[in-house]
Parts: sequence; structure tokens; C-alpha cells
Amino acid sequence: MTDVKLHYPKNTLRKTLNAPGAISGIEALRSAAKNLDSIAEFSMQAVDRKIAALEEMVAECSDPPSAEERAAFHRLANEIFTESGAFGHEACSQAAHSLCDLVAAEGAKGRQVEAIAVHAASLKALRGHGAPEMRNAIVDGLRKLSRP
Amino acid sequence: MTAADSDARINLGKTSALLLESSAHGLDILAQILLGFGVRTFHRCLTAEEARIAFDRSALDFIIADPNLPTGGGHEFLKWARRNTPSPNRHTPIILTTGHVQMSDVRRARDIGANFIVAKPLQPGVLWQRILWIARENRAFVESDNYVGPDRRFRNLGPPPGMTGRREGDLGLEVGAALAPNMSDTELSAMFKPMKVAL
Repeated sequence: MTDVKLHYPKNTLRKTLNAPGAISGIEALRSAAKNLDSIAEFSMQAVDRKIAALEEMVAECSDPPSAEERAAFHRLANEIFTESGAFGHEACSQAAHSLCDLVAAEGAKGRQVEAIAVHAASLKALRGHGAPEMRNAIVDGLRKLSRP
Repeated sequence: MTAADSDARINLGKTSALLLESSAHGLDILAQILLGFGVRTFHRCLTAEEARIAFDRSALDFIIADPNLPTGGGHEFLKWARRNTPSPNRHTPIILTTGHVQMSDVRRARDIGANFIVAKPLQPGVLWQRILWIARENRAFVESDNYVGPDRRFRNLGPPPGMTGRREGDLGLEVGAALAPNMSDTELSAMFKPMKVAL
């Protein structure tokens, strides 16, 4: 039998519930959305720089990519996935997620560098203007590459 | 978000939060969401070392952390925060955020002693709901050799069939023979009926 100690530490957040000056969920979410809007343009410019960095990394990486290179691709793709997703750029976020899947796959097969390059080019295209059907088709195509 | 969660009111103006993120832009996103929620005191950290300093120096009401840091050490920081410090902050609620994850990452995060795990991209509604859940939470805090953190058992269904359970208080699923006769309805009512006591 494991020696287990159970106790109930003070939950300091409890006293904030219905405290004077409390705000509702609707007010909080409205305010958060407004704050996010204020940094959206700047943040998406940063995403564009990360996509450009991805393209540079593809041009310089070994074939097949080393474990360190795959980790670096994953880190960058993960940032693009989470940051573009937070601002509602769904297709860009999904494409970056597909790249995460690709480089995280155990025992990835050959032609991985080409598949990464296709993802990088697609991310750049998805940041431009385009019809939703075209964006969906690009993301579907990328999924076939990362989850064959 | 449920109707109960959107109707709930909370004042986070006097709370203090430690934010640990894997990128500066990720940190901005998280901070802007929390500013919208009314949080005014942040400790913004990009490395485990910065987080450890903030943890040691400040009283915290909650922690939101992505342990997958490019510089490493995120999981170790959180494990240390739960286990190896005398600070009262060791009981501070932790919300873990994760980007692209695999099942092994989720198990590792759960075993660190986090209260909740939130998948990125961050959605303000989900974060608001988790903060509310923590504010209302009354889960026991478990300290054992293998785990320190909020009780991972949300429902007490007893140990799995054929097992005796790992805790002293675990009851088996099999019900033994009754130790006393069943109580009648009158006897039960008498236990709840208020009665005058003559002293």
C-alpha cells in the first residue's frame, strides 16, 4: 500500500468568485478578443518571418534531416501552428500542424526533405489571398503527405 | 462554454500569475488574453530559470505553463515546483498548455501534477473556463513518493476488478454481509426529524 498524504490546501482563486468588481465570462471574452485583435497584425508578421526561416532551413538541411534538424523544424512549425491558430488563420495553422506530424513521425521514410519543402511553400501560399476551397485542397494535400 | 460558466463572475484583478511560454509571441498571446480577463500582475518567463526565480520570489495564484521550451527544463521546473520546494507556491494550481502533442506528452504532463491541460492554439473561452473550474475546485492534493499534485481521480469508482487498490481508503467492489438489520422508514425519519430536547 502506497503511503499517501491527502490534504486540501487553500485555493486562493476561490475568493475571486463573485468578488466586488467581478466581470462576467461575456465581458472577459469580449475584452480578450479586443486585446488579441490589437496584436494580430504584428503577430502574423512574426509568423511570416517564421515561414521564411522555415524555407531557409529546408534549403540548408541534410537529406535525410538529422534528429536535431527535425527537432528544429518541429519547434518552428509548432510555433506557426499555435500562433496563427490563435488569430483564426485556420488553414495556415492546419498546414503547420501537418508539418509537425511529418517531422515528429517515428522512422520517417525518404523524401522527407521534399515533403517539408512542400509544406513550407504551401504555408507561404496560404498566407496570401485565396478561395477557401483552394485553401482546403492545399491542407488536404499536405495531410496526405504527412499521414500517408 | 456552458451557460453556468458564461454567467459566472470573477475578479482576477488582484491575482498574480506566472506565465511560462516557449516563444515571445506565444507569451504575448497568453498575456493579452489574461489582461482581457482582468489579471494585472504577470511574471512573464521564457526559460525554466526565469520561472524558478519568479516562483521563489512571488506569491502566485496560478501558473500557466508550456513545458516544451526550446531551452529545455520546462518539465523539470514544474516537477521541482511541486516536489522540491518548501514554498507555499507548491500547491499553486497549474494549467499546462501544449501545442502539437503526442499521448506520451499528455501522460508526462498529467504526472507532473498539473490541474488541467489546455491544447493550443489558445482559445480564450477554454482558458476562462479552466480558470473558473480551478476557482471552484475542491480536489484533494495528493503527496506520495510517486506523485505530488491534485488528485487525478475525478470519480471514485473503486479499484479495478481483481485489484485491492493502492490507497488505505480504497474500498473493494464486493459488498460483504450486512452487519445489522435494515433500518425501517420510521427509524430513518426519526434521524432527520427535529425534536425538542428537554433538559
